[in-house]
Amino acid sequence: MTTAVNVEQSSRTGGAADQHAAVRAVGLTRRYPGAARPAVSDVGFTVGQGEVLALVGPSGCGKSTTLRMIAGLEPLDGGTLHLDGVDATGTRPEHRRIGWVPQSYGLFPHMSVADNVGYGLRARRVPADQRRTAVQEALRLARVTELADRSPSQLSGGQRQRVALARALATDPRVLLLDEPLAALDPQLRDELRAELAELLRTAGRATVLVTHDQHEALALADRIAILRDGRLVQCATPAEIWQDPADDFVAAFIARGNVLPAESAGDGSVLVADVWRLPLRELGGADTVRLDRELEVVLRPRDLVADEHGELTLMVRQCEYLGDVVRVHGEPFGGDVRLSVELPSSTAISDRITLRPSPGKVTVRNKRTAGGNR
Amino acid sequence: MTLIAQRPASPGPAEPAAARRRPRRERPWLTAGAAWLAVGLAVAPILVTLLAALTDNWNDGPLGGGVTLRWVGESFAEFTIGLSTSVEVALYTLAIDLVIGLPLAWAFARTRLPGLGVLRWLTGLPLAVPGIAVGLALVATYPQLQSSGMLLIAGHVVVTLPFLTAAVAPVLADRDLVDLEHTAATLGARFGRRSLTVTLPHIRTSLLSAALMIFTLSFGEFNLTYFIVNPAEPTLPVSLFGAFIYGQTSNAAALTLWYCVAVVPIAVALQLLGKLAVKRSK
Amino acid sequence: MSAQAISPSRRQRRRFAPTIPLLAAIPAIALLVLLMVVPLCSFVIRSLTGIDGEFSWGSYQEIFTEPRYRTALFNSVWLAIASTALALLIALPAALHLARLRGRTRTVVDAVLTFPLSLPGVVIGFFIIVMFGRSGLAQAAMTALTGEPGLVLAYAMPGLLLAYLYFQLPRVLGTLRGAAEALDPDLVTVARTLGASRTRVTFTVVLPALKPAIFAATALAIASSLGAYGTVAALSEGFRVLPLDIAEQGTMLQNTRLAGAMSIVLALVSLISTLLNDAAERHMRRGAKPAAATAVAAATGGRTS
Repeated sequence: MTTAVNVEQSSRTGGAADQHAAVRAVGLTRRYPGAARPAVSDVGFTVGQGEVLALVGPSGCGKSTTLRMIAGLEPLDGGTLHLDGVDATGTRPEHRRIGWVPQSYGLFPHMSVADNVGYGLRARRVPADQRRTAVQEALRLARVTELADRSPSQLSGGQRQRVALARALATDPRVLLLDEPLAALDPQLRDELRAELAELLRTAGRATVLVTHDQHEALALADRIAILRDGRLVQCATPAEIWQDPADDFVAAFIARGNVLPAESAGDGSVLVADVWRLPLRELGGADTVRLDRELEVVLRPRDLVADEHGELTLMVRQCEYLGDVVRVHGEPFGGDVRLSVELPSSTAISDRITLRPSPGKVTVRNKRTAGGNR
Repeated sequence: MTLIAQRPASPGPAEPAAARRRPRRERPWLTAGAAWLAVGLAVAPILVTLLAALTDNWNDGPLGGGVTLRWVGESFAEFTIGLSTSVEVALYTLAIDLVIGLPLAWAFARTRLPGLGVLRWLTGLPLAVPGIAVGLALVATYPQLQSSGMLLIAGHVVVTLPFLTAAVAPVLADRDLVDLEHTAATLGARFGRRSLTVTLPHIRTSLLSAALMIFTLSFGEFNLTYFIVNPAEPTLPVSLFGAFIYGQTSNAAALTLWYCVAVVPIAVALQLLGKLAVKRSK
Repeated sequence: MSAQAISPSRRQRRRFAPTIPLLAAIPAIALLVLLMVVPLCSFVIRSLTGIDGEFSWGSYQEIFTEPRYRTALFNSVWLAIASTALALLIALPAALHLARLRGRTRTVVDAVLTFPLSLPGVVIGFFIIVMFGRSGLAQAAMTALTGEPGLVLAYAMPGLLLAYLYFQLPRVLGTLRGAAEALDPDLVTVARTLGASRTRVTFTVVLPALKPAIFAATALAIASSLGAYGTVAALSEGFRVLPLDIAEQGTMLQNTRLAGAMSIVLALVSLISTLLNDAAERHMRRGAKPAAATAVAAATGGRTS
């Protein structure tokens, strides 16, 4: 069952090149001794050559454990792992040829920047002249050449990150593994360095797996995003696919700040959303493919609704966040028991209740996804 | 120095006006007094010993017969008798501690096995059992080892080992160190290289201070030593004991001074290392 | 598929199995068994053996019935308690002050206070002799002032108490100071802004926070003074503590049965004190690692030599 899903998924993303995927993980499982449930359970995905995959999810979802399993720092209690088509399931970390960048960057404090970058080459007994060239090249790529003789304690957070990346890249790794690459930095620096990191990863052109709890980071850095919750993979797809078709309400809220609401066919060419809101089918995307005899749900992106005093939906406003050009409004539909978040132009007058109607064709209807089905 | 600062008028509702006037600098005379009392207690006997060592005839009171370097000069030969034995024993003790204690500390830091609790308790046992009991038990069990001096080294190893594990195991368990070792592993470094290039540099400060501590402890050990030492080759504290019991006060004082001269550099080095460790951890 | 999935995980598990660290501990285990467990166990067995090789509590009964030994045990215990109390009385306020010191003063004071840790017990005994002995400084001062020699304190209980205080003070101070320095200064400022006086802050915030360290220091100090031999051996003339009797029985009289029994009684008293303090400390910390303070105490303190 799981295997089938994974194969289907990898054929969607990797196609014929799957055999040469940089990372192919199947059914990864990790159970900590004494823990009630596995930290990671049956997680599978592939990362193509040059592709950046972000593992995202709330804290404790198993994303870091998954990354550590790829690095060989955490044993597998089940599943297999292939790197560049070679079975690496039981390989020690020192033989995996991976570029690991831990959250704190892990620079060796007693070595200069150049010695840090050359460490992996020295460990692999690369001759001195080749080593020098490779170190220079890695320093240049990460744009830290002028820091070569500094000690790690003299570097800023952003510089440390670049040195750690240079060190990982110097060994010509099969895959780069970044654990929360921006978490150790000051929040005001993060936006700036996010763009820099995205550029560096693009220049490096390596297959990369990175872990983050921040959806902005995932959207800015990754080609594809794998969302984990409670140790399970919920969805693995491109940002656009997730935006268009989030697997469930959790994914919709986490990545797009959108909503997936339960719905049912009213039998008269319309659907009843969350028991309170009647929408004609012809106004909904996906209406021609949906099977009305099965369970339904509607996907509402944050800007799929507009304020309209004749709107069919009354939202009881609980909280407003002013975000410049838009206001994000959280609330509950009148008479319903679901939470709904929408973004409205900041010129909208908002009181404790507001009436809304869908933008034509934006809201989509689909059949309810079975739990755990990851597409 | 404001040793005896005036006590601020009793705090509380009696003096809100005074409190409002300006935030006053607090002069906690009680705590300061206790601190300087402790310092005084620590220093006074050393100064008196110095005085006695420089006094020609102590029986006539301090500086009786004037100041002399006679005792300091004469006692040097006596001092060197025990010195070489003590240094030798301390170095052997240190070497054995490192060889068996570092792996033990590593096991304590990196594994969670039920048996380790017992082992940890066993390692700490020499701190709870009086040294004299350990000494007598050792000499009763292995009397044939006494003359070679092996028993002495064995005893010193047992009582100093807990200090090595207590100092090194917490540093080895440091999450940052584990992360660095993992990073080194992903870069292709095997166990041996990781240990030499990452682990050892990381723990070197605490390792060095533990080593100095072990050396000092072994160098000055008497409780246990007295019962298991080969009487023909006394260690420094044992020969000091003889001088205290049977000798002239000034001679004993001069010997004590020599002893202090020998351990002061180690104490200073320990002090500097401690500061370094604190600075590094910040 | 499932077989494939299991086999690598077995390989993994073997690789991550903690056999290597356990192997690393084997030399230490062997040494501790040979040099601690075997001698102490044989000591225990011998102390429980009668003259004809039968099981006997005789040696233990002798300790508690023979007035001489009973007194020695009593002296050992109360000397340990009294000197520890005295050391705590000085060290508690002193530690609060020392934790605030900075700069050069701090360096010098640190050096002066830790130096006595490297002195053997016999030297501390000599310190008391040179201060309060028959020809000590105090005597000379008394003679100079009054023309009469005063009481000689060194060789009896007061001298021993002072000697014990001398070797306990740096140990207790070291443990308490670490805790005083680790104390979050925000706790004090918050309490002050809530309107508490400095005295109230000391008794309601600072001392409770130091309690675990106080128990650790107490355990360390009592254990080290119960076992002290060098100091008393250099000092005592007639005032008996148990280590003196152990030495006498063990060496001069070759009565290892009685010496063993005495050692074990002493070790048990020391162990009980450690366990009581550990339990109290654990109770204070409620769930936090109790072993840590003991380890800190062991690292900063040291044993009497």
